[in-house]
Amino acid sequence: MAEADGALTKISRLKSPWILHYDCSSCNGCDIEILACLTPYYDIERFGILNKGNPKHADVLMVTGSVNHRNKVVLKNLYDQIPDPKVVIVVGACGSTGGVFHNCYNVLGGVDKVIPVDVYVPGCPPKPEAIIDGVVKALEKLKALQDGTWKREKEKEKEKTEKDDAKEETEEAKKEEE
Amino acid sequence: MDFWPAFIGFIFLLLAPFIGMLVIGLDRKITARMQNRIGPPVLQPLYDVIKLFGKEDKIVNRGQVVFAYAFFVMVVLATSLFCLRSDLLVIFFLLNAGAIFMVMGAYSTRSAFSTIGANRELLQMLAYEPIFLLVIFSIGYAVKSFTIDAIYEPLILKLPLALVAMVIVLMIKMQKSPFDISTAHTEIISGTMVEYSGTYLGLLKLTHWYELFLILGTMALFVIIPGNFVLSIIAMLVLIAVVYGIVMLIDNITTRLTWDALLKVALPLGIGLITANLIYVWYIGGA
Repeated sequence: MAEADGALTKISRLKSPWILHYDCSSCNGCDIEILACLTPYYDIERFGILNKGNPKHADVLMVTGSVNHRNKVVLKNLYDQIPDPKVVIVVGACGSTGGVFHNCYNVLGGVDKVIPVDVYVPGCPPKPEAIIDGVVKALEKLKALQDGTWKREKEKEKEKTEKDDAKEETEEAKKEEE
Repeated sequence: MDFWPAFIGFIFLLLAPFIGMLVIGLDRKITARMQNRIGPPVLQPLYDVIKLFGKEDKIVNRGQVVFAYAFFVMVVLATSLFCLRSDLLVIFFLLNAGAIFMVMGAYSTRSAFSTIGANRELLQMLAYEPIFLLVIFSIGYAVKSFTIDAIYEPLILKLPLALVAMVIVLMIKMQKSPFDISTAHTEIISGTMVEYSGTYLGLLKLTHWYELFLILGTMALFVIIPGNFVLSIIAMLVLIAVVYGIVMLIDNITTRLTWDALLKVALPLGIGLITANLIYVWYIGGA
């Protein structure tokens, strides 16, 4: 996460999260609830949220349903096509853990088996209010990531390996000096 | 060229993207109110573009980037010529060169959505370019010059129907329903822009602000009152508010046309309006 970005960029990111909605073998219950958020009753566009059916324009990946062997490639592909910074929200019980399908022979389990997940919205299906709450949580996390008060596992590992490399280098240098 | 017109032109050039942005922001807000929603803040397009400029660069090929910049440069060039009250024909050609660059950018990728979007964008150009060109010709016929500087009276008195034809150009150029075939969201995602992301998508959005300013500016020329700056500005703002209000209303109450219906509706209507107007100008002997 780029901590060096300008203050305006940081504010703007929180004010215009564009959503990509992907349905991994969901029963459509959660999808209907996500689409309900776009209706005049809930109107998430008032927070600048738009539903863009295109990973290249999106900032937030919203996934519903459990992952199986057929769609794990698609899910990974979509995740990779979203430009950084991005957050992933999982909506519903199936996406969070595999739900009632957790021990099916073709099901891998939750979405976090394939891509890193930032926010889980449990429920079968969750209410639109809960989904909006999930987006707000995701934005809080994005803010923390931007300010550097929260680090993703991947970045932590990267920093750790960099530190280790630096250590090894200094040790090697010491050895050479000796 | 005198100092003051050039200075005012320079100020307008600096303000151009913000005017375009505010119009789009108000459009989104008022559209939301028409649909009984609260709607995003007026500055939402600005947030979107700043966010896009802060995103990771993911490009499909280098050609795409070159075409995006070429589109931007052409449209900014056209806007600066407009602000310096230059030749309307040159402005028109630069604007269309920019549009061609955008189409080439869309063709340069392998995405099917992008290619269909580019095809449809070309069709849209086929629909609005003759109308736009004829409007400029009729301005030239009425004023006896193509330069903006030469306009000596409010054009709306002589060319009221050409102004109505410009509304069609505005609707096609700004992807307003029923003419939004090239960025049809539910059919081909966002057509020509589908393969752009991050900074370059932001650049395209910024260019659209300039384009909107340019088209609205061309319409504002119809109510220019030479020699009275303040009154001209007020008349322009009123005209733009009325015209854009009508465009928003039509956008909200109509559905998208197919491409052949677009050509069948837009071309005869636009050319017919301008022909009627030219007959009128000839009849009153104004030319």
